[in-house]
Amino acid sequence: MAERKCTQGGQETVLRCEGLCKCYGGLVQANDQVDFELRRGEVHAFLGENGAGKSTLMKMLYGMEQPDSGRIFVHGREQAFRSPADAIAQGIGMVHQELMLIPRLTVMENIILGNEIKTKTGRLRKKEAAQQIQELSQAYGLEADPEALVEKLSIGQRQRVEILKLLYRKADILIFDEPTALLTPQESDALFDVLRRLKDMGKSVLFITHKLREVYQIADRMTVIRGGRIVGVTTPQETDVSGLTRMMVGKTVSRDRRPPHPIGEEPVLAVEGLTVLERNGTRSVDGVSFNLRPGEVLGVAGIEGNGQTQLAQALIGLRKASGSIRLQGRELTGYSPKQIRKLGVGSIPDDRQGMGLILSMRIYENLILNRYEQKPFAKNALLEDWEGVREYAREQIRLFSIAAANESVYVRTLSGGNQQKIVAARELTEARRLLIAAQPTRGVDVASADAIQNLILEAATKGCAVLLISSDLDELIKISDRIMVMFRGQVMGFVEGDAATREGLGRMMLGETAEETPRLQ
Amino acid sequence: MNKSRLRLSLFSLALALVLFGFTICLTGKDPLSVYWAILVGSFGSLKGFLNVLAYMLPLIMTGLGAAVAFQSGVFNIGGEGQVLVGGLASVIVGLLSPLPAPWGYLVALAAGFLAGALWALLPTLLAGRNLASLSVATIMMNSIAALFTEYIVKQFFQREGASNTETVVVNEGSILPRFFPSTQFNYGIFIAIFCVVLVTWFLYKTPCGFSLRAMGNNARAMEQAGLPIYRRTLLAMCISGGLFALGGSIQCLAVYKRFVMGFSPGYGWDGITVATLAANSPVGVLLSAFLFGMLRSASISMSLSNAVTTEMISVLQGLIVILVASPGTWTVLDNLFYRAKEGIKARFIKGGKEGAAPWKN
Repeated sequence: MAERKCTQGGQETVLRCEGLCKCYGGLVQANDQVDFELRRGEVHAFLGENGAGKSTLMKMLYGMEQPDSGRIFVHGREQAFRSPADAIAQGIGMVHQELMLIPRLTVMENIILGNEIKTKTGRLRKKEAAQQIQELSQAYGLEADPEALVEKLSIGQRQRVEILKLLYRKADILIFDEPTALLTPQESDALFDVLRRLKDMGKSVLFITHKLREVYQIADRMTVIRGGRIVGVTTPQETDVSGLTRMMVGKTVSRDRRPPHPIGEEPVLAVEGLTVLERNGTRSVDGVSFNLRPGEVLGVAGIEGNGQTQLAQALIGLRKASGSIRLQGRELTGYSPKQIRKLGVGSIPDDRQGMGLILSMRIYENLILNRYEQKPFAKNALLEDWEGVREYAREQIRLFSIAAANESVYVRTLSGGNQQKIVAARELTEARRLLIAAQPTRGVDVASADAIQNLILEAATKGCAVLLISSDLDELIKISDRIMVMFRGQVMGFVEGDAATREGLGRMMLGETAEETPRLQ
Repeated sequence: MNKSRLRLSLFSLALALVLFGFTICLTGKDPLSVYWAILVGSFGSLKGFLNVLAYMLPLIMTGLGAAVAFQSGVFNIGGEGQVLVGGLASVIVGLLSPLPAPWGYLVALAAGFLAGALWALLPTLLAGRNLASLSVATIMMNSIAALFTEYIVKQFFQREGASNTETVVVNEGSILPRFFPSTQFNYGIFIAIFCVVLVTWFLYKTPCGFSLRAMGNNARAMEQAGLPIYRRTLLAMCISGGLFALGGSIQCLAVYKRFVMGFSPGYGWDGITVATLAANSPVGVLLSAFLFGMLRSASISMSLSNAVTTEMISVLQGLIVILVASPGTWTVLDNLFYRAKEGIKARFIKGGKEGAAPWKN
């Protein structure tokens, strides 16, 4: 990338939008007079906090939503997309954060789905399709076996299949929505190689992210959006990290490690040989043991799907597990989630929309999901005090600075960051002894992430023990006292927060034991 | 009720009436005169109106039963069976209990509710924690209920000399009184209104009702928040089953005063329709039950006058349900409308004016 010049002037504009506005019911302007342009053969990073309007703009460019006003031009011609199909027809493709592949089908079947080559009688011409895919994957250096089942592939490989799918549909404008969210550092590097090759082949890449590090690795130009408005267009050469951060959040955020703080002696939580058996007989959590002391933040690193989710679910009683879980000496195995929560355990689940919230209900309802039948929310078994609940919700909205018109707004209409603040607000008030926080800042903008991290640290300072499961290594290093690395359900080792490095953690996440890294316990 | 959901119901109703109009045309009749006949039949005379109310009663109860189940995210499609079992249980108690009115029929109704609750509980226990098999289990209980009630009546309560499978008339005190001897409209209306109020209050004012609605919206989130999902599922099924059963009880105790095999023309199924059109809101159930009461009343008087057959009214019911249950229809229509508008614009306003957004008018 270094030797490629970034010829800014005179390059052809492939995608342009003018004065795009989008407003969601009862909420602030999600996009306000957005102008944006993407050129041929560039990697353009689109930066912004969640809730800043990134996703809204992408949805409009990809036809998933229609702007209230403004115009979109593709190759100089004005377009009004009514659906993604319209956008695809114009050569726009999108790689979503959650990959949209069918696990039970092969790579080839996934790629040709919807664009099958058929004989006159309607039979599939698989050979021809496979050959075309081979040619594409060679041309772009995207290795993929057309006959492999998608469910057998790693996340990184699946992402490559997604890209092939777009290329197969002759997309020349590729939108990537936070593509590195689920990747290891090593896989991210591989992805960036692919992006560079796409660029060299004359494709245009629009790369949505809030990870600043990546922007400097890959982007030719970047556009920053804040509060629905474009703040500026710049290049990595012109603006440094702190300048870019300021553009994104409007104020400087601390990126330092947490200050030292007291940690108790007696462990709050003692886990011994915890094992979770899956239906297919595999062990998603395999003999995990650790101690957690009051005030301590224990980070859990690992590529997604290595048992972290199941570990959290076992700890909160959602999953049967063997082994021992002791909370202040009390054995918890066999307890129901309700009983465990009563002991002062809060849990932020990693699947925010699926398990953390009820999107089709209102903010004040979501804030009391775990305590709706307790005082003061319920006057008695027969009467819920809705006026009191709403009052409480208004207070929480202020306290956690949740951006919402009022407490009766449906949670579905909120941005990711604000949704997560609702989960955090609910769980933190319950977590007196132990907080299990899984991916608490995923898909959350910088300022909200910072706020949520501070809330977690505040709880720790008050003596709550925190188990922080995260795939964001920077976050783990920033706020953990110790980091436990998991691989295939097992603990690969513990690393002191001070001594942890991205590279070291990354290696352990891929299955190396902590030999070079300092070990504890 | 959610505003957009209300709109969906009203639009679906309107479109269903239009489509049904075409269907009537196909049979060579005039749709407007048929609609006029329905209106006149329902509101033209006091007797007609009372008939509509009478047909509405069981539908309110079964609609409420379905609404409670669906709001809780529990797919109880065993309503028809619960109606039959509830009716039989009420009649049996009505035959045996010597109590005077009103205690006689109140106790009989309570027995109906209990029987329905138990009948709904059974498949829930059998299905266990697997919610997917719950709908299959409940649906199977319908056939079992039909045969079970028939067996019980034939074996123990068959009225001698009757050609139908039916019991003798229940004791005087257990008959749910009618307002006027000439129509079937009866005291069940008090029960129905009471249940609408009670269910509304339960779902929206009590902590337990909230937990059921929350479970219906996202059971996984409630499980993670500590709600005992399985126990709440059992509760929702019991309440739903009991309400369905009351539909049967009212019908048996007030209209037939006995249990007659085949007394229900599908109240349990219609309850699902009623609740769907009402977006599962208890007050909405009241309104949509009235509408379906109109249709049912009309279908009978019309088939008598040979204008439109009873089956045709089922077509209208079916159309309403299909349209409510497929909100995609509205997206498609919306898109068609948009494309048509754009097409006209492109033809008549050439090139499009500078600065005017194509989707803004």
